[in-house]
Amino acid sequence: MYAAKRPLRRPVIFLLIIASYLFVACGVQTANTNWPGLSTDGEKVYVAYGPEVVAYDVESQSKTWSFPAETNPTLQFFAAPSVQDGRIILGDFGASGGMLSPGVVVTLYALNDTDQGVPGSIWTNGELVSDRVVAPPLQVGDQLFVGTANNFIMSIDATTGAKQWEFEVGHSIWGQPAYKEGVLYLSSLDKSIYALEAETGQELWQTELSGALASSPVVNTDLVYVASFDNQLHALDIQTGQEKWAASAQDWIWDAPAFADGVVYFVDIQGNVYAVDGASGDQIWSQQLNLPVQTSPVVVGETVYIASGDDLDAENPQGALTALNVADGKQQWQKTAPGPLFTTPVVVGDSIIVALQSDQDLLIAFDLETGGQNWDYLPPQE
Amino acid sequence: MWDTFILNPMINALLMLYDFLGNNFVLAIAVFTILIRLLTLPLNLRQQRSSMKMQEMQPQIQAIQKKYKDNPQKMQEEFQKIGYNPAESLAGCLPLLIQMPILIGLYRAIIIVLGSTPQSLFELTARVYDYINLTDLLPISNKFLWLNLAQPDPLFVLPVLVFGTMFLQQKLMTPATKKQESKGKKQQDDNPMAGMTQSMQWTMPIMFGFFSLQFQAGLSIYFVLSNIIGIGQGYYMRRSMAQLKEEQATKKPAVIKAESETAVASPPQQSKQDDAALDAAMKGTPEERKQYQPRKRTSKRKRRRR
Repeated sequence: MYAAKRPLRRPVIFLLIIASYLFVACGVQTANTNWPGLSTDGEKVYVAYGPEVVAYDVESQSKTWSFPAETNPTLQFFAAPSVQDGRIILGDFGASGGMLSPGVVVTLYALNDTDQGVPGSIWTNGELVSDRVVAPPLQVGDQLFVGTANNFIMSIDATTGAKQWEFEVGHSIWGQPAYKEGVLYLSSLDKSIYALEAETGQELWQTELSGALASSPVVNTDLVYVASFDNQLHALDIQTGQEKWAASAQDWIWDAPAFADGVVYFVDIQGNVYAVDGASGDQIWSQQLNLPVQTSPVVVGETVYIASGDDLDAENPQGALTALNVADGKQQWQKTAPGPLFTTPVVVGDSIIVALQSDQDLLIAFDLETGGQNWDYLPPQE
Repeated sequence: MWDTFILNPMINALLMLYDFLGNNFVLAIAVFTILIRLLTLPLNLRQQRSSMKMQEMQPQIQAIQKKYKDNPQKMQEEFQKIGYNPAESLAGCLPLLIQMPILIGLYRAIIIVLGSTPQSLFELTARVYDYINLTDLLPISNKFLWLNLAQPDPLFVLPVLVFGTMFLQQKLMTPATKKQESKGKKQQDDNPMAGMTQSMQWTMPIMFGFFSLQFQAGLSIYFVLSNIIGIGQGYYMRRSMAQLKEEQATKKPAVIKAESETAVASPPQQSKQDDAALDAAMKGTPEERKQYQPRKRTSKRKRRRR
């Protein structure tokens, strides 16, 4: 017994060391999971989820392309792609830096949209950013703004990938910046909202609130609305950043409000929906969904749509899409989905499209009017 | 079950410490590490004592294993006579087994508390106890010196520290073997337990050093601090064991002298003379049994020279 054991000892130890080396060298790193990122150009929807980004044509109800052509299991995409005039900007959650590298390489990709095959590359840059891209990038003309999880906002030439300027804030940037007339409005988890000169990155004003800001600011003619974890929706003066009013909710407001026809709609994470006057902050109506919500409301015509998730400890988590009247908040219909809806839906034609965090479906299109399911899409399982 | 009893209490403990310690996450990890080490200290000390005891009994155990390899019942009886219980050596692994859920829990807790993605922050909200005001605590500061605590150390400092401190800890917590005393490599080979312990001194630090290349810096800091405490504990154990031996030496000089002069033997190479000696030892008084040591193994090369 003893004689058989001894020769095995060294090979086993050697194998253990080799295995741990491979564990690192092959890039088996901390898995960062998140919900899908969804955007549209009005014809196609682009969904970033896990190892690939998929473009799906709504009219033909077929996948147009996926990126990258060969998926890398350590590379993950979750930030909603930015699409403008056929140019798609993607930022990833990083891949292993390679053999024995302690870092991750986060890459920005500029792609030419295509109707078939693989989208062509305009440029790819793995040195511009050094941490995850959670916030959807923003394109304004040929200028690209990218916020990172390690506290930077960058201005990049969208045609070449060259960095123009960068500005450091106090914590991660998770919300897409907003742009209006040469000024970039930016929220950060550091509880502050910043106004920067888009051309130079120079700070115009900064206002600190009492809760972290995880979502995008929404810009009106003279106000900037921002949702906060301090259970309030804040309206700030667009010129000075001074707070004009704040509307209270019962819990954190995770995602951005929606602004339509002078009314601001927002939802807290307990599923309480509020409609307030955009100028005064006076409440018009409120409605209880009793479902966890991390998404922005979507307003189309006379209806406001809310996508919701499920409790974290739910055995078979489901999602729901609820349609409410914009006038009084009364429910028109509610449809369930076979997975939580943590992503703000997009509207293409007569469909409102949701992205699911589920292995049963990736996309479902509901009829705007009736809530009937128009189509769904699940990428082929390998 | 796992979340309720391991993960969520850890998350909330980390958050409370972060709140009490001036919103410094590294300090929170440091105090948390000390608490965990204090909680597992009795088990760790027990394991170390048991390990040292086993190490000293190895010659007798091997001799009995060799002699009664075809008679397990008799082997057990002989084990009982010398006060060896194989189950006790398995119990020595208990602290390691208990530390595994703590490590896995902490790994998950740091990922969730640092909230490096929106989903992890969302998960955090559901796990925080009511009396913790998460709104005030957020965002959790993830910067410390050059480190982003939610990412691996880009300058390789932490992996090197994890390796170095773990190596020192393993070395100090391992009982001094005859190999170290007599500089004989052969003797290490003869004693599989000592050999394995010696190999683990290198294997574990190398493995964890590699892992630290991909661990979040916060977790690597936990390992470094935990190892430093382990080094202190190992140093204390060594001193107390040395004192104990000294006391024994004063009380029973003859017995201790005999033990120190006898080297560790190898069961496969034991001669019939060893078996006879073992029989004699086993038949004798407990004192005689204690004095028994198998004959030193002679290498093939030495035999050829003769």
